[in-house]
Amino acid sequence: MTDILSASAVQAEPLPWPDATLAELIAAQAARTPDAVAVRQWDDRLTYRELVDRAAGVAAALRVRGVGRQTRVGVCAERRPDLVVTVLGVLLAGGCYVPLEPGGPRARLRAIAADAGVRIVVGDAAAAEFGDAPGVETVAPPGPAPLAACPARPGDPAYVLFTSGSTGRPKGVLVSHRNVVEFATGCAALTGADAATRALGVASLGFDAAVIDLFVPLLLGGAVQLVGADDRADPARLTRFIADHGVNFGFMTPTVLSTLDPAEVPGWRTVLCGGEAVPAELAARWAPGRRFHNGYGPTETTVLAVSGELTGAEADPVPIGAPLPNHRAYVVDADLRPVPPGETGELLIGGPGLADGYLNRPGLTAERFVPDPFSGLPGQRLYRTGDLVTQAPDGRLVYLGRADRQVKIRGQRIELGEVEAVLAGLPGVDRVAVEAVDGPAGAELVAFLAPADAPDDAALRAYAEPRLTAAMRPARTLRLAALPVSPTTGKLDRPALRALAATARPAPADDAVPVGDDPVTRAVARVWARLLGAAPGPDTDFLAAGGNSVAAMRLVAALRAELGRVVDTRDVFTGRTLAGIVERIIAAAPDTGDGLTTGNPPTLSPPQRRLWFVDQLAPSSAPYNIAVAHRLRGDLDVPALGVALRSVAERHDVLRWRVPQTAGVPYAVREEPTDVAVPVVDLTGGADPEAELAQMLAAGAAHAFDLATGPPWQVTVYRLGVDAHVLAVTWHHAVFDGWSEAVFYDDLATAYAAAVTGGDPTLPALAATYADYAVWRAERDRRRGDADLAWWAEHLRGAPTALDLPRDRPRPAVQTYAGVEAAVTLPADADRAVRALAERRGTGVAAVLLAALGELLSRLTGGDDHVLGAIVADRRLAAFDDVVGFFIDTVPVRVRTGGASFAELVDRCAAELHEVTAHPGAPLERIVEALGVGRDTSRAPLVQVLFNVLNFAPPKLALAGLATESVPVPKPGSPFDITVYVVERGGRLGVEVVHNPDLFDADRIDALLADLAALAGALAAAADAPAAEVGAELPRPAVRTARLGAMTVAAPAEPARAVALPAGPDAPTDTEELIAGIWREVLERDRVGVTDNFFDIGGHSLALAAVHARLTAATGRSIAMLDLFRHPTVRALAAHLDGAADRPELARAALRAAARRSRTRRIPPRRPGGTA
Amino acid sequence: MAESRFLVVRNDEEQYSIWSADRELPAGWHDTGFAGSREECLAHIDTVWTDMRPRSVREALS
Repeated sequence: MTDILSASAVQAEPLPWPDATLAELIAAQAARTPDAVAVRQWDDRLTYRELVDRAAGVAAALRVRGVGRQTRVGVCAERRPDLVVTVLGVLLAGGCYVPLEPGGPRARLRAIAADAGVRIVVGDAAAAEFGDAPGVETVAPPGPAPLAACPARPGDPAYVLFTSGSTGRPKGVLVSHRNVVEFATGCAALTGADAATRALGVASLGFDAAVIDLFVPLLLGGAVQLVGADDRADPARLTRFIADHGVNFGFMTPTVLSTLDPAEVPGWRTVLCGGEAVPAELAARWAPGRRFHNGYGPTETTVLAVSGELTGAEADPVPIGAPLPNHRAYVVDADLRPVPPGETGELLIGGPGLADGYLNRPGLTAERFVPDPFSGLPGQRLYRTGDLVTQAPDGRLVYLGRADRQVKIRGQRIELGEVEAVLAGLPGVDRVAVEAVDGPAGAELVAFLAPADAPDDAALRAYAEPRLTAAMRPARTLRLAALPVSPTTGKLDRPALRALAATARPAPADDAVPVGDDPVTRAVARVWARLLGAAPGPDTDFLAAGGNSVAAMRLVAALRAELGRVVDTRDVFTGRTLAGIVERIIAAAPDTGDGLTTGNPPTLSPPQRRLWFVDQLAPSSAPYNIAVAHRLRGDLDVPALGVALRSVAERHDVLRWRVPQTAGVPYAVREEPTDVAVPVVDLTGGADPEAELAQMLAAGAAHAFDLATGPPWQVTVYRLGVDAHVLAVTWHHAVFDGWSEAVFYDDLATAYAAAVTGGDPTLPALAATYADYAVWRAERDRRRGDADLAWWAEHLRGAPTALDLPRDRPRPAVQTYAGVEAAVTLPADADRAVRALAERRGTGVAAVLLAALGELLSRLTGGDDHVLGAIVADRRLAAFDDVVGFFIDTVPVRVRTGGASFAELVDRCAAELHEVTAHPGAPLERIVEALGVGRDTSRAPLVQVLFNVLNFAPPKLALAGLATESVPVPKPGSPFDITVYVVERGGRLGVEVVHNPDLFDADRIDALLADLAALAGALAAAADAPAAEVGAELPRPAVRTARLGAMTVAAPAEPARAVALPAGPDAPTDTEELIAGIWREVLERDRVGVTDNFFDIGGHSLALAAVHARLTAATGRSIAMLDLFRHPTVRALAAHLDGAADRPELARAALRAAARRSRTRRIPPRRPGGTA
Repeated sequence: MAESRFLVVRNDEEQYSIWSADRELPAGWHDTGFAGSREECLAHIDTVWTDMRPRSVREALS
C-alpha cells in the first residue's frame, strides 16, 4: 500500500443509495406524486400514475408470456412517451431490457437480439422490425393494468447495452438495478437534480446517457422531456423543443451541443456534457451563467464514473474531474502498477457502478474486470477503461486518448477492428485498414482497401449498410495496390495511413461543378462544399464525400437559412447524392407547418417597412431598384408580352401592391389586375441607337418609384430593328429580390408561350402569397425575436458601429445613394491559392475572401474588429419558393482579425457567415436599436460595407420564338458606402463592388480591389503565417491614406442649427410642447424631456415616420423627414422649425394654435402598426 | 522476453479474472489452480465460468 501514496489515485466520499429496484422506486414515486408529469413530448404528457398504470399493462402482457426475473426483453419503440412506458414495463415484469432501435441496420439489430437471447420484443415498432424474425414474438404496448409487485432484486440486471467490440462482434454489457440506482443517486447529489428537474430526453436508448435522461428524473419525481425523432435531428427544432419544454437539466455530447446556441436556451441551467472529449471552447461558450459538468464514463461503469464542473476558463484538454461518490480511480502502467501523478497511464475504475460483465463473454469479462490490489477491499474488481489519463496537480483527472484502437465517432464508441473485420468480408477485398482522422465535421472513418481495384464505393456501401451502424461506416475509402508497412516493425504503418487520409481529401473533380442555373442545386452544392471541403458533382454521395449526421444537420440548418426550404436530415440520407437531395428538396410538398396561414390580406413585412422608410428619407433616389434587360432577336409579339406580364402580375399580387401611409404608418393596398402597359421606344432612327439605349437603360434603372401610388415596377421595350428589341424591367426592391428573378422569368416564359399562340396565358395560383410570408414572418419574429435579439446583442457586444475607409471626399452630412461599379478578377495563382485554402479549411471561398477583406480593413483602419453587412434570404419555407417578393434581410457580420494566422481568420469568417444566418427573428432595425447605435443622417446605421455572397447565377429568360441575351444594366445606386459581391466569372473568382462616388474616387477603388485580390492570394498562399505579416506592402500607400481633410463629415448644405438653442431649464416653448406631445403619443411615454434623444427613449425609424406624419398634419407645413433625423431632440427640432420656417411669425402662431389644440383634445395614444 | 504468466483467480462472488503470477494476490481473491499465458487463462475462463451472475444474485433467485 505504500506505493499508493505517491501514485495517481482518487477516492470519492461514500454516499448511501436506496437498496431497491428501479421499478420499485418509480412506483413508490408514483404513489407519492401520482398527478405530477413524468414524461412530456409537446402536448403528449404522462403523469406518474398514467406512466405506472400503463407500464403495469406492459408488465402483465410480458408476464403472461413468461417474462420474469432476469429475462432479457427487446425494446423496439419510436421516440414517443410510450417508449418510457415500455422500458418501465419490462423492468416491472422483473425483466432486463435490451435496446433494439428501430431504423438501425437490420442485420446488426437481429444479431444483437440473437446474441442477447431475446425471444420477446416489445414496443410500438416491434412488429415492424421483428414481425418476420423467426423465434421472436412481438408485443405492442397494451392498455393499463393494475400494478403488481416487481419480482426483481437490486442485483438483477436492468438492461444490456451492446457496444462496439474489437473482434467484430458487439458485446453486451450487463448493468444491474443496483448499478443504476447508485449512479442516479450520485448524479443527483452532484448536480442538485430534484423533483423540479425537467430533464432532456435526447439520448438514444442504446446509449447509456439515456439513463441520465430517464432514470435520474424519474427517481426524483422530475419529468422526462422526451425529444422525438424529428426534433432530435435538427438543431433549430431541438432548440425550440428545449425552450418550449422548459428543460433545465440534460446531458449532451459535445458534438451535438456545439450545434446549439446557449443564448437560445437560457433555462437549461444544468448541462452535462461528455461521451467524447469536451473542447475548452465549448465550455467557455456554455459554462457562464449555468452549471456545466464534464462527464466521463464507459458503459461498463454505468454511465458516468468521473465528473467535474467546468468553468468558462478551462484549457484543452479539459479535466474530466474526479470519481463519482462511492467510486475510486487509479492511473496505472501496462503492468497495472500505479504511475506517479502527472504521468500518463491507463485509467482503472472501481466502485458499485461496475457492471457484472459482458453477456456470455466470460474471457473478455475477466480480461477487462481485474482484481483490485489497491483499495484493500476484499474481492473487489477494477474496470480497465483502456483510456489514457493523467492526474493534474489539482488532483483532477485529464483524459488524453484511447490506449487501444477504440475511437469516438459522433459520441459513439467505435472499435476500428470491428469495422475492419466487417469490411474484410467483402469479396474482392484482400486487406483492409480503418483509421479515424479529423474531418470537416469532426472525426471520420477512412477505410483503406487493397488491391487497387477493390470494390467501388457503391458496392462497399451496399455491403456495409446492413452490417454497420451509420457511425461505423467509413466516410471515405481509399484503394491502394498494397497497404503501407513500417520498415522497422513490419507492421501496418498506421501513421502513414493517417497521413495519406489527410492529404487525399477529395478534390473537386472535373465534373464536380454545381451544374445548371437551378438555384436549389447551386445552394445545396455551395453548402455541401462548405461543410465537406469539396464541391460535389451531381452523383457524389454525401456520406462517401465525408458527410455524417452532424454534417447533415448543418446542411439542413444552412439550407433552411440560406435557401428557405424546409429540409429534413431524412432528405439528405434518403437522397444521398447531390442530385438525389436536390430532387427531394424540389419534390417536397410546400410546408404549411410552422404557423403558415394563407389567404392573408396585403401585409407589409419588416424588410418592406425598412425600404419604405429609406424611400421616405431619400424620395428621389433609387438605390434599391433591381433592373434587368434582355436583347430579344426574332419576331416579338408586344401585345402578347403585355398579356403575359399581366398574367405574371395576376399570379404575384405583390407586383400590384402600393404602399400609402396614414399618420406615418405605411400599409399595403392590393390593386386589381389590369393590363400592363408596355411602352415601345423606337430607337431605330437615332444616330447612335446603342449609346441611346445604354443611356435609357441607366435612366430606367434609376427610376424613382412612388410606392404610395404604384405600381412598383415598370417595363419598357426598346426597338432597335424589325427583329431586334431590348426588354427592360425595373422593380422596386420592396417587391422583388434576386431569387424572384428566375421565378418571374419562368412565369413570363410560360404565359408568353401561351399568349403568342392564342392559348390561355393564365398561370396557376400560388399556394401562398407574399402577404402570407409577411404574416408568417411576423409570428416567427414574435416567437423568437427576443432570443435572436439577445444573441445579436451578445455577438456584437463591444463591436464598433461605424466603419470609415480612407476616402477622397468628406462624408456628406446626409447620406447620398449614388453608385458606381468596379470589379477585379483574381490572378490565376491567387485564384488557385484561395480555392485550395477553402478546400483545406472546409469552407467556401466566400469565407476566404471575407477574411482577406477583414485583413485589408484592419490595415486600412488600424482596428482589428469590424462590422460589415451580409445578405440573408429569408426563404425558409418551401411554400414561398415560387413567390416573387422581397425576402431579404441585411445582417451584421463581425470580422475580428489580429493575432491570428490567415487560416484561423478563414475559420472564424466561415463560422461567422454561418452563424449570422441562424438568427432571423431580429431584423437589422431591432439590432441597431438594441445596440443603441446613434442615428446619423450621414450613413446607414451599423452597416456601411456590405459583403454580398448571395450571388444567384443570372437566370435565363427564354421567350418562345426569340433568342435572348442578357444586357448589363448599371446599378442605380449604392445603399451602402461599398457593396462587395463575390462572383465567379469565366472560371475565376472575382470581386465586384458598387461604391459611392461621393466618398471614393474610382482610382482609389480600382487600386483597392487590385490590392485586395493580391492580398487574398498572398494570405491564402501563406495561410499558417501570422496574417498581419503577410504581404506587408499591401495595400499600396495611395489606398491606405485618405485624401487630406476627407475623413470629416461635410457641413450640411443647410445649416443644421440656424438658431441658437435655448439654454437651461426654461419653460418649454409652444413648439416644444407640440413636438413633445406627439413624441409622448407615438412612443407611449408619460413624459419626454426636451433634450432626450428620440432614439435613446425607444424611438426607431418607423416611429419617426409616425412623428413626421403627425407633425406635418399639426403644422400644415412640409417638413423633410431627414430634419427629424438631424434634430433628434425636442428642443433642437423645435428650434429648427421655429427658425427655418419661411415666415417665422406665422409659423409660430400656427404652432401655438396646434399646441393648444393638442393640449385640450387628447388624441388617444396609438402605436405604429409594427416596429421597424 | 519471456511471456508473462498469469493465474486464473476467483472472488467470493465467483467472478473470475486473471492476475500476474509473480504479484501478490489481492485480498478476497483465490487462485483456482490454473496458470498459463494471458490467452490461455482467458480461454480457460471461457470454458469454466458458465454462469456469469454474481453468486449473491444467483442464490437470491433460487
